[in-house]
This record gives sequence, C-alpha cells and structure tokens, in this order.
Amino acid sequence: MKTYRRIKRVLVMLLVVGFVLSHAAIASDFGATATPTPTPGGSMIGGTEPRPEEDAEPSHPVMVGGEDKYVTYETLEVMKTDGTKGFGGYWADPAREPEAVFVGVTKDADRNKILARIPESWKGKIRFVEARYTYAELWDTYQEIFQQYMLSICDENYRVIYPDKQVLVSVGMSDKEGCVGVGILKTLSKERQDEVIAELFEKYGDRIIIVMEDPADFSDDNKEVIRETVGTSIFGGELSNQTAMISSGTNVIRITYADYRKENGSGRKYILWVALLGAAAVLSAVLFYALRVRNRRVYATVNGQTFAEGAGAEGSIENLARKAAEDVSEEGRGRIFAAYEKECGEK
Amino acid sequence: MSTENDQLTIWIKNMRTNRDAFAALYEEMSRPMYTVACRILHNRTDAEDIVQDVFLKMLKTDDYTAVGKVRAYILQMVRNEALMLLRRRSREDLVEDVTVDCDSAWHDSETHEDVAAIVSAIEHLNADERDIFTLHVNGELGFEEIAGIMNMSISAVYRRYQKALKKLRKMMNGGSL
Repeated sequence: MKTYRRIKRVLVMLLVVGFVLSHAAIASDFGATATPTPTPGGSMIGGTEPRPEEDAEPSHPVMVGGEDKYVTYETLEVMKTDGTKGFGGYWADPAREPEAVFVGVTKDADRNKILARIPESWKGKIRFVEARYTYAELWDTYQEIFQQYMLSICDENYRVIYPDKQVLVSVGMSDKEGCVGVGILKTLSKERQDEVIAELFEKYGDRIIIVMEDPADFSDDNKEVIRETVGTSIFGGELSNQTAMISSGTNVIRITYADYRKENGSGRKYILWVALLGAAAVLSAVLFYALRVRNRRVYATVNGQTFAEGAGAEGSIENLARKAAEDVSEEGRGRIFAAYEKECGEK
Repeated sequence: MSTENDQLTIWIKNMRTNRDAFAALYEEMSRPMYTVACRILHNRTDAEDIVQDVFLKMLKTDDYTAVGKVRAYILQMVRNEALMLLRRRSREDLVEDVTVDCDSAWHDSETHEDVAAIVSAIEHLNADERDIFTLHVNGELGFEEIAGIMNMSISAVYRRYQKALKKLRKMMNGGSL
C-alpha cells in the first residue's frame, strides 16, 4: 500500500509540473513568425482622438498642430531640469484643452510638485503614467532615431531626396506610453518592415513602441506629408508636425517590445528555460523523494530479527553487517549499571 | 502516535530518577553505541569505556529540550568520544587486535565466516565510509541525520554509503580494493 501511495504522490507531482509547463508553453506561443502580430484596434498612443503635437522638446515650447491651429505645448520645468523626476507636459492653451493630460513619472518623482505647476482648471484631467525611463533618457533615444532614420533620407536642407529610403513616418515622445513612439511606413515590404522593427527593438528595447502607419491615416495631403515629415530641422528650429505626431486613429497596429520578444524567439528561449528548470525541478523532486524513501527507517522482521525495509534479503551486505553488531559484554554492562547506581545514588 | 524518538526522549529524560527508564534506554541503545565505538576504536574495552562515559554524560545533562533526534544525539556523542580517544592514542597499536578483540556476537557457525568477513571488510573502508556505513546500518540513522553528525551534505553521505557498499560487496566476493 505504501508503494502505491508513493507512486501516486510522484504521479501527482509530475502531473502538476506537466500542467504548469504546458501552460507556459501555450503562453509562450511557439508559432513564431518574423512579423510581430499586429494589434488591431489596439490602444492609441496619441489619445482617443487625433491630438495636436505631443512632442516635448526639453528647452523650448514648441508650436505644433499645423499652421492654422497652433497650440503651445510645454514641458514642465520641473521635469526639464531634473530628468529623474518625470516627464510629460501640458497644453498651455486653455482653448485647446485635451480630454486628459498624461504625465510620465518615474517612481521617485514628486507628483505634488508636478501638479503644482499645472493650471488649476486642468488638474482633474491629469493622469500620471508610471515611466520606466526619464524624460532625458527618452529624449536621447528620440533624437538618435530621428537623426538616423529621418535625416538619412534628406539632403542638407532636410528635404526628401531619397523617398525610396524612407522607412519611418514619425518619431515622437509618447507621454501616455512613457516611451518613444516610432511610426513605420506601413507600405514598406514585409521584409523591410521586419528588418527595421528588429533593428529598432534590438537597439532600444522597451524604450520605444512601434506603430505601423500610413500617412494617409492622419494626413490630408497623403504622400506630401511623408515629404514634410522630415522637412524641418530639429536643431534650433521648430519641429515638423509629423516628426512629433506618433499615431492616431482606431485601427492602429501597435507593436511593443514584449510583442517583439515573444514573436522572435525570446519566447522560445523562455520556454526552453522554463522546460529546463521544470525538468530540473522534477528530477530534484524525484531524487529528494527517493532519498527520503531511502532515508526512512521502515522495519521488517526476517527470521526474528528486525531490519530496515529494503535492506535486501538474508545474506546481503547490510544484513550481515547487522549480524556483526557488537554487544557490550556482561562485565561491561555491570560496570555501566554500577556507574549508574553510583551517580544516581549519590544524588 | 508515539514514535521511537518520543520513547527515547521519555527514557532519556527520566533515566536519572527511574532505573527502568535507564535500563530500557540501555537495552535500546547500547548495541548500536558499542558497535559504532568498536568500529572506530577496534578495541572492545575502549568501546565499552566510551559507552559508559556517554551514559554518564547523559546522566549529568539536565536539559534535553534542544536535542532533537535522541538516537542521532547519542550516537554523535559516541562518535565524538571515540574520535577524541583515538586522537589521544596511537591508532596502530589499536588496530593490531581488530578481529580478535572486536569479534561479533553472532555465533551461528554457518554464517560466522561471513560475519567475520564483513567485519574485516568494514575495517578496510576509509574512516568516513566506515562511519557512515556503521551509523546507517548499525546505528539505524537516516542519511540526513548522518549528514548532520558528519557535517556533510546528504548527497555526499549517500554517495559514500553507496561506495562503501560497492567496496564491501567486492571484498565479500573475494575481490580486493
């Protein structure tokens, strides 16, 4: 019966581990493809409706939103001066009140100090976003991406001269996501898309979020906007509206770093580790259990003598050794009991 | 449900005032104590002295609350005392009369040869293997308890035990180490 119980316990243990492993396997999605799974209708980086520019240039307020609807967007001073405190900004034009103002804050940010700098009438609309990176860190990432991918297709006047090289539609700071949003041209070939996505994620990891964009989604003049995208220098002048506009619309294909990792082998690496750890755990459990069983003293009587169960048949090494056990002589026994009488008698 | 350890604990706590408890503890433990001492010292008289010393020490101990496994506690004391005695004396002098002075109590003529052979074979194990084997087989201690006594990991104890068994089997089959 004991053997049955032991077998039952081991089987239950294996079943539990198998259950956990199979769930981990399902979660990791083995069917990896080069292209990340899009998220139709996923959350929008820019808000529930197309918003004016969100770019938060750290030293000057910027004019965004197109020539006919300038809105000033200011980065909070407290954030600009200390990158560890948080990032984000607010709309300075009360006439252009957004539904919500997202303010990225790192864990150590003083939220009250940030709130104190925001117009009183907007305070109910402030939504703090837990930020993994500081504004300064993201700003560097933003600049790198802009210079590498946007300026590389421009001539010295930042006009488009190699439209065939264009891969990005937009780059901008995303207050809501707490990262840099990168819009990749949706019309690129699948191979090129994969290449750019991999390149960006491998380099910047979760500092960025990628959105597959078609200029037509947010532009009135379609292709022309692509050209305008890189039409303005970011150095000392105004930012192009498109460099800051990350995305909008309700059918945005949004790819996070987690999506990318999951779809490009990291998931498989993860499951491999889980499987290895699981196997090690099972092996350890079995060994531990075997040792415990071996360690347990269960007695069996053979020919009138009591031996530990599993010690083997009569004549085994252990049984012989047990038979070879020594007994204290009668004389020795007498001495020990005499010592006892003396010790306890004295007390 | 009373376990062996509970019973030993009751005896060890009461033996100073209750002679029956002392006698019961003696009957239960003297054989493994003596065997362990004998395997280390290879001398019957010295082994008996060690058993006596350990019983006297137990009589002088007031508090057994932190002892844990009584059997392991007692056999650890025996081993420590035997090793201390061994350090004080020259091992070579003691080994001379191994088979003569520490012969087995087994008197069945049919198996006497095998028993004598296993005693001799055990003497050829190295000190750790011999102690582990004796504490497990004769002392009836688990590997975990032995690991605690010998300050080793359980797996190391188990490996040495298996190695000892292998060596003994080989020697008992007429092989040499």
